[in-house]
Amino acid sequence: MPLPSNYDDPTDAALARLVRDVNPPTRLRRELLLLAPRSSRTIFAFWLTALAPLAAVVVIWFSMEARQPSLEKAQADLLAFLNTDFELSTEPKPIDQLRTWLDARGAPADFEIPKELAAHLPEGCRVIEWQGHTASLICFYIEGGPTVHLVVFNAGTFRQMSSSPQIASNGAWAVVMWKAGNSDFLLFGETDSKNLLRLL
Amino acid sequence: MPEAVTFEEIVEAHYQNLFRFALSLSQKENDACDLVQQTFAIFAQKGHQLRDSSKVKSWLFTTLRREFLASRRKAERFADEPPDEATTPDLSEERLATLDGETVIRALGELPLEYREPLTLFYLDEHTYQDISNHLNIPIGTVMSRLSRAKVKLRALLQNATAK
Repeated sequence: MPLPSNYDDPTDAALARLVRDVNPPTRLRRELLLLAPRSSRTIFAFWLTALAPLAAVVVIWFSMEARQPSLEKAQADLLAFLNTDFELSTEPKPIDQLRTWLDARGAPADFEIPKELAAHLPEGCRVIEWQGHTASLICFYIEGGPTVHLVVFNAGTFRQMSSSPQIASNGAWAVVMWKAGNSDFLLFGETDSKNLLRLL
Repeated sequence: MPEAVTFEEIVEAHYQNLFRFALSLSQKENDACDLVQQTFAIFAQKGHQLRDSSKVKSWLFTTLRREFLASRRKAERFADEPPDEATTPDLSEERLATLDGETVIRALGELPLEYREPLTLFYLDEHTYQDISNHLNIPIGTVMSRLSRAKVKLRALLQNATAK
């Protein structure tokens, strides 16, 4: 062990060296280390272990959130599709026959159509594939108004869906979105949103 | 616990000198070990309150001394003394060569506490007059005078011890 330089007297230096030659019993160090409080590293490891499952859940949740389709994107894509000269896959049929047809193709069929809308004649239906999700499209002829288009996804497709209808508009188009039962609904029409709301 | 320094690192850095100090105070190895353990036990509980890691060493020595004094169940007050002008007697190289650490520690133990404490700290690593003044809570002038007297007494004791 180096000596401090402040020992001017060589006898002091020699005595200091002798004092420092006295070593504690080996057990002392071991016993002292046992007194160690839980170190920050240990605490960190403890919390890391304890919180790992929660962290995994959070990561999975965020991952699912990241994969959750955007309702805004769905509106835009579906509206773009509706503005094309798309064709329906069926002739005008009663709604129960359309359900059967959709169900046979793996599309959502077990959904409840709003009472006011169900009073109108379906023009037909088709299946839509959007971002890996299969949706049903049923178009309704509205007397004295434009055709409206009901797109039905399985429930939970869109996190933002609420049982209270949400309204959005895009140019001459309006869309009303809501969830009910085991389905997520988007109702499009080239009309005022109030007219769409009257159909719910 | 002061940041960036672990309890284990503090033990490694200070336990040996704390033991030597405790041994000079108590003169018994077991008592010295108990004092060091008690000191670190307190540190384990309260060390986190030390915001300045540079104060750890001072805190440990001061705490050990306080625990020693508490164990003696008496408070000692020491009056300031004027510096000793007497010449410190020297030990010959031959006599120094016959000494070992335990003999020096035993001789330190025979000194009155007011001399034993500052001289032991003086011989331990890097304890300056100011360090000793801080540890013992006495003026630096008193440290110097007690060291001077302590050296005289210790060397006299060692001279007799080696002469035996």
